[in-house]
Amino acid sequence: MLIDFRPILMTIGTLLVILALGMLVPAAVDFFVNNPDWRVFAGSASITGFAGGALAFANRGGEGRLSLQQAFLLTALVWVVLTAFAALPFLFCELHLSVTDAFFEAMSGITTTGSTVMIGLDDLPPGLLLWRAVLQWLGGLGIIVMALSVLPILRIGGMQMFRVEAFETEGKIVSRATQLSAGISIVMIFLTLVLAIALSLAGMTVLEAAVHAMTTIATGGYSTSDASVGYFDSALIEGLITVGMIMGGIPFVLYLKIIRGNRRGLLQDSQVRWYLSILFCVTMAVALWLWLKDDFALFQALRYSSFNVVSIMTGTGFASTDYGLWGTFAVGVMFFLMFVGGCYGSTACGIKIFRFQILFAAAAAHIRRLVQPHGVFTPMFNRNPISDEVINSVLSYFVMFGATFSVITLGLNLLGLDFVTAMSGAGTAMSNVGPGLGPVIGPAGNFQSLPDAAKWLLIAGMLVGRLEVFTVLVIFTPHFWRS
Amino acid sequence: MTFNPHDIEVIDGDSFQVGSKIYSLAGIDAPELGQACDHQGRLALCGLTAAYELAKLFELESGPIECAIEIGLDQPEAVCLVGDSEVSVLLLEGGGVVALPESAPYYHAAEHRAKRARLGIWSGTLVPPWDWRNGKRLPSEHNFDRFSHLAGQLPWKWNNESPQYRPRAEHAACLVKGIVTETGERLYFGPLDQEFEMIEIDPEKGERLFCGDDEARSAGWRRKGEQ
Repeated sequence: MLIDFRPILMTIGTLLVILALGMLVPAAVDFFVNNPDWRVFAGSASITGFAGGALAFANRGGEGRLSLQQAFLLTALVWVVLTAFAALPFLFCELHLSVTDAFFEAMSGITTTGSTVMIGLDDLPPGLLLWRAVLQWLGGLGIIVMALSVLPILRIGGMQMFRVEAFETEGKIVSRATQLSAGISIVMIFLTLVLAIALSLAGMTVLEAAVHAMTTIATGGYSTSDASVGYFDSALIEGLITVGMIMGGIPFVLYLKIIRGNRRGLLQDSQVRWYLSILFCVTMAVALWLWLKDDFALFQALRYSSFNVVSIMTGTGFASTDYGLWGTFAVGVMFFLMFVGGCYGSTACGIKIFRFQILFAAAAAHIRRLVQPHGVFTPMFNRNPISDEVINSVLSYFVMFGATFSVITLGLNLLGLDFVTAMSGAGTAMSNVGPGLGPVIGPAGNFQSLPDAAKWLLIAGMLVGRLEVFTVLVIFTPHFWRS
Repeated sequence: MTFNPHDIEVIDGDSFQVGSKIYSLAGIDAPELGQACDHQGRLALCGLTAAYELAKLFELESGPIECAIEIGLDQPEAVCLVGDSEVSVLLLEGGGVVALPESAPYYHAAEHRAKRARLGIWSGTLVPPWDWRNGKRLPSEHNFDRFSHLAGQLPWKWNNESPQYRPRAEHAACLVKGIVTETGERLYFGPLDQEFEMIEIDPEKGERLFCGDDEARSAGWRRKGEQ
């Protein structure tokens, strides 16, 4: 049976129109500061808006029910098509990035990864800096809406657990996503505005505050400076951004619940408790290492540890210093931390806390069963029993994540990259973190120097990681097209 | 010698100033500030990129930077460490600079690793910086029509209603501004200097553009505050 592409194209068209509206923000700013790039943004907005409008208009009437196949295709296609249009300003602006670099920057932006091929950010025009931030902000919003409306229905990596929490029934994915995105948008706008005002009061310029607020809440990590947040060298700014990153990693539905009067929901959520506990424990462990082994003063150790640990675990990717130079234990911690990620339904990336909870609960039940073979031990999540289907789904996710990670790592090795660069590159792309480790792509490095083939591998890694691996892999199976 | 990272002013990809002294990083030569490299068929300002990379390395350092200072040909040579790693080696491994022919084998080993992975300048062709300073250019660097798009890679204020700041056609991108002060002092500034954007070159006063800091120094210009 042929797949009906109309609802898919209509949704993509609508989202392209939103992307075009986003392009008007940097266009206006560049026009205001008399930078000729405003024409590029206006032109890109026209092309994107026209293409989006035409797609939506030509396929009108396609909204409503999406089949499972259509939902999979929509999810994978929308990120690729939006990235292609988002790359237009990078291609045609005065920097004239190559197609590979423009696509890399756009994919890294929209997936909230934060790896960059641009250097000399401090001297870039404001429009480009703002566009990178807008992309991450829209990508962050998009991922929450997708995680709450589409992914539970696709039953990827245990996300079916959140089906009830997100919505009661299957069916009209698009209309439910529209309702949801309104609420989430208001929360994101509010958090971004509050953070931007606070950063501005802490000493940032309006542009710096706006960019960092957007990329912090979206846990994206694009900055206005090559030295990232390290450029400001301010404990206050780092503290504010740390709080912002932590908030970006919490399920946004919980903020909506707070607005609706359920103030206890946040701390009653076991995922949030695990998330905050892991952040606290790792921050303390790294701070202790820096204090005892690396000659940092106690306050400095806590300051650098908290900022960089939160940045890496949430997948934001800001750096306040080159943590790649912190010595064996701290570097090892940073490597593994990039896979952890934040909570489900947040802007954060990575494997995500709930999967570790399920894995832990299943492993604990299994160990008990080994000791008492006839006992009945049910793994629990948020005081609810976890079904075997969810456990299998999560285990499959871990296997496929590991397999994809290995393939990308080996691919990068094949291109001549050293093991640390290849492994941390694959990890940072798949977990949508930003910087990797080592002199090439570490916090003090840049992805610009990589060969084009490596950049395309990382682009694939970012997409696969952001879409929870299976969403992309499933459409490459013959069974998907036959069913 | 110990330097506070905040006191370090990066001049280009292999030299920096602290107070009144200018230091060259040991074992390496970076493309000159105005030098372009062929990066997979496209020209890129690899000299400017190398300078930004060095500045980023220093800026992200949270503690003092230890440097051993040795006597060099023109300027003192610095072997600087960030963490346990030598700055020159980190830059070589990132593919942003080249090892000097007469430098120690471990510099060449680091350069070889970058070459093998075709990183940075090794993904295409470049004229060795020492030949570039003697006037050798990539064929495409002579062609202004193909080169003019690189103006967009320069600090953006340059292109804003200031056509005189565009790179000179015959020398491609010349990114060092040499000015003559009220007292007759000849000073040069690179794109990483804060004053750079504000400077307008007045040829009638004898002010001019240079394609690299070495060219400026050879012509008698000096850094601000240099003894």
